[in-house]
Amino acid sequence: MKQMNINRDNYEEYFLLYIDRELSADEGQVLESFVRRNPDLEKELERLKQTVAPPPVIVFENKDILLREEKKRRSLPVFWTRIAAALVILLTGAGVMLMVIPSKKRPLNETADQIKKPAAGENRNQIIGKNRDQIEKASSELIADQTKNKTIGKNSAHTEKAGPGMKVDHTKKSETDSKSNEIPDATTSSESAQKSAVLPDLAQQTGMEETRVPNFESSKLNLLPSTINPPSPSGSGGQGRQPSTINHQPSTNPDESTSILVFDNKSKPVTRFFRKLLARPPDDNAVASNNQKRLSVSIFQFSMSK
Amino acid sequence: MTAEDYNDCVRQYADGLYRFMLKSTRQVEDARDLVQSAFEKLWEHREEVNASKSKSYLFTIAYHKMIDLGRKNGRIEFREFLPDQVATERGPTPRLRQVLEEALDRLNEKQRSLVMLKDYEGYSYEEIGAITGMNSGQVKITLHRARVLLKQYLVSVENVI
Repeated sequence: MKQMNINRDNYEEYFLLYIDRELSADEGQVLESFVRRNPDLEKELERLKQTVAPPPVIVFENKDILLREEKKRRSLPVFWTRIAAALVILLTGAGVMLMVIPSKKRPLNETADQIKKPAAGENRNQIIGKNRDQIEKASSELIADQTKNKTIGKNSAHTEKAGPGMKVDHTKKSETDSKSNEIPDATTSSESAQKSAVLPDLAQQTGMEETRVPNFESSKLNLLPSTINPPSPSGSGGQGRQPSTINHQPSTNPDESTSILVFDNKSKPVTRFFRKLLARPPDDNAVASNNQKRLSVSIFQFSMSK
Repeated sequence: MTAEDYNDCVRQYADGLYRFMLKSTRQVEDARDLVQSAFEKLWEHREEVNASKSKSYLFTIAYHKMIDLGRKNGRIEFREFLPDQVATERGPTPRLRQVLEEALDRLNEKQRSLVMLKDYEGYSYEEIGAITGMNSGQVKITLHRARVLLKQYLVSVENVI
């Protein structure tokens, strides 16, 4: 820093530099110490300080005439805002399309399913009906008791009421029909083909079941495990033989409930047998045999109904 | 300089520039015209002017236009100045302030401009020299002479009072 040599001969220049804020802080301290050493010059410094004009507050009115449009700042957000709006519209439209188109297609699928399912149910009913025809023939040979015909006739009414359940059962069957060749052929073919193709098999099965019926009551009932509760001594009502008393988990399978409804109040040993039969775990190896047994149950049911 | 920078300059410097022009010309319309002309010039050359130098650019343009206007119209008639417009501004005391305004009126145009650039805007000698086209030594000498004249007037008035 340049050494400031202030004295009584050159103090005015330094005083002017001081009030013009052109001196550094150190130079200012040197000047102030000089003034303290020379109090007669203090008034001179104060008078020079009074020449400093304080800035007046003057406002330029209506500055808008000076302002310019900020094109870049405004145009860019507008540009992006438009892009964002377009994207929102596109996404909204796409979302609506995704929601509307499937909802339009869905009824078609549903109608197709509805067409298939009743057809399958009809086929099954036809099969059952054919079973009836076959059973009617067989029952005339095996069953002659008129009272049984009355009581089991009611059960057939139960079976008809349980039609929707049978439909559901059939749809479940259709999933495993790849393992069973009889039912899919019967359900997917035409009625004439069904009559020609299904009936012989059913006739065979019906014959088998007809011969087995006595065995169910005699031999197979003896094979029932002890986990099944015996029928109540009174023999009335199936409350004592509710599925909860049987060693299997209560199933929501409508086919099982249908089978219980059919046989519950009619033939106790047979009912217990089919309860046990239906309580067996549906392992894959036993699916075909279970399907066959279920079909046998239906055949047996109608053989008992007439 | 962007348009945003330019508008920031308007908001920050329009009042000070107008004050400088008004105190120099003593004419409201001339001062406003000079301020608008300076900002138009800044806008035209905004691509070339750095935002940090915009204030000095404005004061430089306005100062030289004011000089041109004074040469064109002859010497500025200080009597047309409206003192009431600045009489209410802050200052040491109303009386001292009024005396100082009278002393400033007695300065020549260059001296007054340098005093205002120094006291109002706080420019350094070098910056004032850049605005007025003078070197810092000339600014220093001119300002010192103006201060001495102002001090003499204040002392004279004080003695009268």
